[in-house]
Amino acid sequence: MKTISRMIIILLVATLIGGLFYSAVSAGSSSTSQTSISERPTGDFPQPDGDRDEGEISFPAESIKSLAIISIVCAVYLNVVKKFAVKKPTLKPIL
Amino acid sequence: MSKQNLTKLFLDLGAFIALLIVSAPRFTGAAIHEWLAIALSGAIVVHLLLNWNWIVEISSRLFSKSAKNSRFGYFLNWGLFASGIMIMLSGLMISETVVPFFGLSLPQDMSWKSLHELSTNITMILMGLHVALHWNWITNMFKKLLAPRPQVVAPAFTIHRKDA
Repeated sequence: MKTISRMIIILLVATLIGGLFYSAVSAGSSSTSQTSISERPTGDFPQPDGDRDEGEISFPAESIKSLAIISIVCAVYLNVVKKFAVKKPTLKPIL
Repeated sequence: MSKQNLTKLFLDLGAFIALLIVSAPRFTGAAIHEWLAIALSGAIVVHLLLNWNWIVEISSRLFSKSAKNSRFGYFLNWGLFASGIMIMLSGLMISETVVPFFGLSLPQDMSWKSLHELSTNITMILMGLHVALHWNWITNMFKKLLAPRPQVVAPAFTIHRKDA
């Protein structure tokens, strides 16, 4: 029961944030009045680079890119924190 | 290592791998991309439930001195949550598989596609910071998991009964 109520809270918060985003984007796009996909002319357009044909195994470059972004941000943060961390004074033993 | 920590570690590891797979829709195809993203959002809900005590604790004493070190992580996690919702929402708006599967059709707008890409990039940066904040926990868990367990040695003495 406790878990279900927590799940409901998470979903409610997610719905609230999603609703705010949706209304913000809808308001923004209606003011700029962009052309929707359904209104665009259809035809044979060349496939963008990276799209693959059926049965062809492609390299997961996007995954590698995501992993690289996460790794670089993580490494930079850890190094910055290490550099600016306040060192606690250590007590020297009295001889 | 406690059972809950082990569950957290494997759930987070699985979610991280799923995130990397989901971030390559050209490699997986639209169907796997969308359904795996739905599953990943379920895993994130479980992740939040497992860390519920921390969320409640920091929320209750957010502006006190004792929560000074956790404040950055707290707001970062809110940002990550919001950007994750933005990815899901924009992804559903441009869905090719999941939304039509339920017999629904949504008005298509090109702005959702650019928002989907933007929120993905923001999420990757925030995810890097999230991993960095928990780096010590992650490395400690792996050290404990991979460290050889001490063997229990049987006592090297025998008990002799006096009357034997």
